[in-house]
Amino acid sequence: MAERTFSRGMIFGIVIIILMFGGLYYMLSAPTTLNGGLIEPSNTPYKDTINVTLYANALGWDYGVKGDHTNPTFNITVGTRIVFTVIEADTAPHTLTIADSPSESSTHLTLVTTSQLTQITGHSVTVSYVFDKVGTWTYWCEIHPTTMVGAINVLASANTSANANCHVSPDSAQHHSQNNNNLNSFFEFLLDISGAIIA
Amino acid sequence: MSTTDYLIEVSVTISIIFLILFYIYYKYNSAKSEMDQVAEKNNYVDTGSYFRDNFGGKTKAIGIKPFLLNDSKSIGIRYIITSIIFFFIAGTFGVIMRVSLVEPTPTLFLNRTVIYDVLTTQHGILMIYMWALGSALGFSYYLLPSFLKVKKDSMGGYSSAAYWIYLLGAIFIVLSRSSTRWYFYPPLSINLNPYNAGSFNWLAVLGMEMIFVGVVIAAVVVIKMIIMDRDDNVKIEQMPLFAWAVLFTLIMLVASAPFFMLGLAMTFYDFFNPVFFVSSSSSPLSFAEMFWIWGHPIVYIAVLPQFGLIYEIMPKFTGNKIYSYASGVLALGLLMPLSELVWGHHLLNSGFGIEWGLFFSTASFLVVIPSAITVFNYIATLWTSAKIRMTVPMLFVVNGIFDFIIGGITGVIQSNLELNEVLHGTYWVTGHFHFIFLGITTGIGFATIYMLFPSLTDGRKYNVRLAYWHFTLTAIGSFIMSMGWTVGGFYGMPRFVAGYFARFQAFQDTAILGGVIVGVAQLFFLANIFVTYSKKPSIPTNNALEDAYNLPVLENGGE
Repeated sequence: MAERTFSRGMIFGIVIIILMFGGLYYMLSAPTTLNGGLIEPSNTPYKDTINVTLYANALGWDYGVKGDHTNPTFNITVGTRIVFTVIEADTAPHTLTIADSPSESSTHLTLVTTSQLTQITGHSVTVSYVFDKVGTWTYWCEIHPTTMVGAINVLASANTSANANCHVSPDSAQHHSQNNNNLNSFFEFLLDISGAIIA
Repeated sequence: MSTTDYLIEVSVTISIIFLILFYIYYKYNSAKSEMDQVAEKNNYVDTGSYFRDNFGGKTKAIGIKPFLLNDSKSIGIRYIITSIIFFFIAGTFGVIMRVSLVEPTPTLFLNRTVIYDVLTTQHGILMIYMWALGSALGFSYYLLPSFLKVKKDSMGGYSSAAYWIYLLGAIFIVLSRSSTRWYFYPPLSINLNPYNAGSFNWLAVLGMEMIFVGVVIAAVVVIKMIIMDRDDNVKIEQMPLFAWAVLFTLIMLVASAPFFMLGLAMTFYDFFNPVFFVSSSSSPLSFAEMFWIWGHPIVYIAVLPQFGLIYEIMPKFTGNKIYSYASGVLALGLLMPLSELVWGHHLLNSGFGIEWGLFFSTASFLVVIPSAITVFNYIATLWTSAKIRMTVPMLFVVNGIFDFIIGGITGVIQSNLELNEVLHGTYWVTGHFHFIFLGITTGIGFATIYMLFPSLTDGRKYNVRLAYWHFTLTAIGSFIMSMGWTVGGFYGMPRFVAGYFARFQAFQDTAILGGVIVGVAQLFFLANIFVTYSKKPSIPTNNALEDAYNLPVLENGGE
């Protein structure tokens, strides 16, 4: 037998070392972004917070009043954080999914999953998201995408006033519309004036 | 060509292929049964060994052959090698977890704390199922045929298939990068969102189920080996204590695994249609109960075979018999039903109600009785010995008994209903089971590997100096780490989180020191393999554990 300096035991040890570091590398490269990196979770500072309570019903999202299935449109200024409280209203599974496009998109972010919102009527889940991009966003339920869909209009901030950039128009029945923009700017103007007077 | 002609051609081709395959199988099978008869005539307990020794040349333990041969020794070596590899993989995860906690708000996984959860999950699952259970199965497959002088080494094909399913399941677990912890509680485990629960939970559930299929098949084969294939001269009341320990362990495994297997299957269904655990008619607690009916026995499954191994290793170095064989069997036998009854103590704070809490708390206290019988049996054996040879395996054994006493006492303390409200969810629990898992499972596992060293390395002696370093650093490091956790947990340090409050800095630093020492200690084992294999084989390949059992059967010729 010739003198062997590199035997199978050493190969075994080297395989162990390779597997140790390979496994560690694999674990450390685990995806930590939502849905494989389609939209990053927003850690940006927010200027204002709106609390929104949505009843999840297969016939449509209810805002405030349970049972009207309005799919409300929300008009907010950029940098607003919406705290969604999603409440199960029927016994069907629902999600709350958002995308920064005027309609449902595959590049989306599911804020509330079917497993978070159980099918027990009355169960609620609270999540929040900072809308930091101007444009029309869509929110919908992935299981009922045709009935449960609504729009979030994220408007450019007219000024930096902290208390003047929050407008919700829950009673608007038609989504994907910019109808209330004039009214909103008027409200903004009024609020600015009032703020100035108070100051 | 019409479709009908095409179908006819395809079916004729397939029929011919099947005929050829059947003919090959027929030839193989007749050759194998012929070989079986020849092997039996030559007093070989299994065909694989006969084939290996007479046609394939001398087999090497570390190599490809144990993975191709289906005799019990080869399958045992497979399990042992796999468990060592996964021990090092999972150990790396553990050390990195420790190191990441050098500061209260870790910056190592900045904004990616889910990585910590992934590492916790992988460390837990791989250590329990691959290292503890894998090494126990490996030692059973390797040692029991000699211990029991089995008449015929049967069902090798089943064992082999079970091993591959088990290994594939473990690979699935690693690939899944799941962060559900080892208990797979829904709704986290049925969450398919990579950010919230690692990546592919469905793969983890599938891998877990495969590990179970493999382990249950292997368990049934080993139970059959103990009960039916035992030599007629080995009476069941004179069986080695290791065989008793394995028998009780595997009966426990087969009895409790179906609950969690069913729970996993229901979880898998919940991916598509969440009806079982998050629907209006059920609750996630029902999964927790299904898990812990299995989850408590598994922690005994990781310890009981090692108790049996202590009974086998100890007499080799004390020079006398085990003090009391009957009480050893009695204690191991008592642990089996008791461990099936105490699972609720993992859920004492989940709203069972005081009656169930009292039942599970009392049952947990009763576990002290068999554990104490076992420990006193060890102490009595040491006490009555004329001279104890403190070799490395014996040091591991003594340290294991010492760690088991501390880990056992901390376990009894936390099974108290009132104290459990304070201690659950803290590092106290982590400290409790790491005392036992590092002292007994890992320590006795390595003691046995050192005992089997000449057989596993084709007749080489392990480097004693490196082995001493391995033992010393493991013992010191595990004690420091577990003690830091236990004391910190008593002050309320929460476990399973990627961070801690700054006032726990001292305890975490202690645990990090210990964890790094344990990690470095295992490198001495690797170094030992390197050093050992740089030399040529110098001693026979038999080992001290099997020698006492091997000699008589060869004289009789197994007839």
